[in-house]
Amino acid sequence: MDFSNFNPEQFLGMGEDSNPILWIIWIIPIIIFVFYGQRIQLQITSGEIKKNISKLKQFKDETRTELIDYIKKLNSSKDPAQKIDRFIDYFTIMPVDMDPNGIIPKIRHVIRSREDQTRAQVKSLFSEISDLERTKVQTILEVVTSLQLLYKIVNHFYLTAKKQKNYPLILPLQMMLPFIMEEANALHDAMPALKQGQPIGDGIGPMVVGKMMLGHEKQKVAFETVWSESEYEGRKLVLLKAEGPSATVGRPGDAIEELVSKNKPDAIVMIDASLKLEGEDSATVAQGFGAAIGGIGTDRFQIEEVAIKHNIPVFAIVIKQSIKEAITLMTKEIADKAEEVRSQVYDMIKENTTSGQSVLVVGVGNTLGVSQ
Amino acid sequence: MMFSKKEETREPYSVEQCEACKKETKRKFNDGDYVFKETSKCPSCEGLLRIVKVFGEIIKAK
Repeated sequence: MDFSNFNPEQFLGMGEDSNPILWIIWIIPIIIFVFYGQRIQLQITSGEIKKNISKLKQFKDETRTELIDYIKKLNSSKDPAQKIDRFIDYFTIMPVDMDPNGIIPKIRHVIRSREDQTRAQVKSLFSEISDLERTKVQTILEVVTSLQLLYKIVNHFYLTAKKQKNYPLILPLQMMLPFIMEEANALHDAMPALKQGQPIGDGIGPMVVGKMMLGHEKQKVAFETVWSESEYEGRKLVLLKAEGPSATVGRPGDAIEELVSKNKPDAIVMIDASLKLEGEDSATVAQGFGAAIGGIGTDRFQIEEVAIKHNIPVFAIVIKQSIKEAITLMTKEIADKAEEVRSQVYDMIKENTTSGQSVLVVGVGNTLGVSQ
Repeated sequence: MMFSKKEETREPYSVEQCEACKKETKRKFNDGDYVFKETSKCPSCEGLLRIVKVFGEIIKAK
């Protein structure tokens, strides 16, 4: 190509024989984008965000109605709507972390106070309620509260950006929204399983240990947490899980502390569900080291402390799954892995301990729909 | 739409296993079912039937 005859004035339509209309066509969009570019972007982006906000509102309203209907079905004498609306708006103020020394007991205290209060409030809705139904209502209430919080936060950022006409403010929201919606969808889809007391993906750990506990005497060791003793190839097995089939994770931190001081195990094996990375297959099993337990971190801290104090190695087996699989009805692929995980637990015990030693085996997770 | 996600519906099932003959039977989930619940007697050997799995299977995609 020959660029020697290139004329910038002609190219931009500004030469002597230029057409003013062409010139205007060039310049007007530039002026518009310079002065109104952010607003145009804001309008385009806000359409998508608005759609998601309506979806979040729909999820929040639907789950709230389902919760109220569920409570009415259990106890038709009282209308719970007013009380439920008050519970849904409860908030938790986390302790100050400017000086993090000693923050774990403070967090544990705040979280436990909240749990105790919610339990008492749920009980107050009924003249009589079984532990199974009470834990189900409590878990559904947590789902509704989480959806309410997600809706309020997303709506707040959206409205603030609109009010201030501040496009950069909406960017982090636009980036985070797919993750927020994934979690919201999972919470919404968890409702049928929670109401019917069906096991969820997170229950795979308790399911593995629950089978090992069958036929052995169960004893309470901490709040909503049970243990039993069995034997495997000369090793004493101390088995621990939350008390099923209620919708609870128990208090594994307290229970492990108690059982370690009583039984002095030579190893701890923890089995839990774990969030898979994108590209990883669901229901794959992986082994590792360290305390396999989620949550806010207080239980993990407690377990790590006790393991260090008594110099006990902690082994982990995790079953990978998405957030949706973890909190909705257990998939067939995950349920089918229970046997394989159990055999891996036994292999791990054989490889890392000798006859005459004892092992603490912990099934971590929500034990809804999984007995022992 | 080309990239719209298909909605999945999962139907819950319970799998019962006989403690004696180890025969497994899959049936639809009934209210009150939970894993390791003792349900009834095995029709073939009179052994104890226990639910060993409860899971969801995708039945249709809209």
